[in-house]
Amino acid sequence: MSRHLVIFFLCFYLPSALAEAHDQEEYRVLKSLQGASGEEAAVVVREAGHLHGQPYQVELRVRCGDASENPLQWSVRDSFSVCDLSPESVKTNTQGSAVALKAKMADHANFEKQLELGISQPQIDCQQQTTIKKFSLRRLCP
Amino acid sequence: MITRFLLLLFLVFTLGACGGYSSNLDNLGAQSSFADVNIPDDFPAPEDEEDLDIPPPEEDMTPPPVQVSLKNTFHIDDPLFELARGPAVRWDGCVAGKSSQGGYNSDSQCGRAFFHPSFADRLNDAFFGCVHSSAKEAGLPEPHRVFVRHLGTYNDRNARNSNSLSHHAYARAWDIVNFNLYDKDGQRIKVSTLLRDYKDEQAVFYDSFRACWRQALPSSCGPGDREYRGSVGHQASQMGGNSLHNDHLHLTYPLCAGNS
Repeated sequence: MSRHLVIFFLCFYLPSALAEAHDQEEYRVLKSLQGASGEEAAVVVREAGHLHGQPYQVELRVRCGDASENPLQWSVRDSFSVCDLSPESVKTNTQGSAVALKAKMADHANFEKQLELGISQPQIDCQQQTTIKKFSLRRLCP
Repeated sequence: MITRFLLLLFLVFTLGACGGYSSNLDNLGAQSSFADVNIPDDFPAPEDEEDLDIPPPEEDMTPPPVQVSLKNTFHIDDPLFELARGPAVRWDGCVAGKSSQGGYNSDSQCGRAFFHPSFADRLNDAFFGCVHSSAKEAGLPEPHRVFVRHLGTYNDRNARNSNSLSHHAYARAWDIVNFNLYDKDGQRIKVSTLLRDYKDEQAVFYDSFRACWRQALPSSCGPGDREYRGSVGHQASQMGGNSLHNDHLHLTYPLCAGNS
């Protein structure tokens, strides 16, 4: 009987507890890099976006002063929300002044069309076409 | 021993089946093709690019009103819409002669958006006045018209990191990216709400506008009410905010303001 309880506990409680911790802390460093003046920086993605139905938040985070090694403790210099992105596409330009990545954005035009038609429950979709999004790497720390 | 081994085996498979999860972040990019564009090696930095999203051609430009009117600057269409969480009116951001125009994610392409009727009333009562006074405080030319680059009003979803409905679900929130201010000669000055642009006159405008909008809310809103300040911005601003609002200003007519 007690074994059954243990199984029940492990099966239902443990995964949800893990998932909860996972939700609170989850992020992914897409690229670690240096700013134009040598600052330590990182392009980070979190599942915290919301702008116009875009679930992911991409952030340029910078280590200024005596920040810890955890990129989530670093200053956010810039950010944007996306529907999806290609992690492999992140690259800096030859001058080292900017970083870019390929992303899919929300289809604003289709959303707008639904409003024009008077549809009161407009749906937000993601575009098929790819957009290049960029962050500047200049003047990252004050 | 065998029983214990079987129990362990059972647990491993059961955990995977009934509770295991996979990270969405691990699956990024897996469902889409990104081969339609290439990023050149020598791409320019964002600030070195020309502002390609320039104002519309002259024939489409709405001449700024000669007299600056601070109230009733939004054109609201007649029909009342019934959205998932309540009523809404539709703003037409294209109407000539109205001082408050705007469009989705564009500094020049106008469009429509839903607002809760009370939010629309308060926008008509206070929005352009706040734009006007904030421009003055920031030392910018007097705006005769504003074109708002925004990222939506109505969206039936929960607030981020929350199980509660967002103010967007009630069409009581508006995500603003840029205020494009037009002076009497039709000259445009862009005031951004992005964290990266929070400096000099843009920072003064940003803080002044948020403070003004807060003043425009009913006294029924106070600490303890959700979004009682009427906006959520980034952390660098005087009224504070969070890292989820580094790329837009979340303007609200919060639930605590009621329907008045």
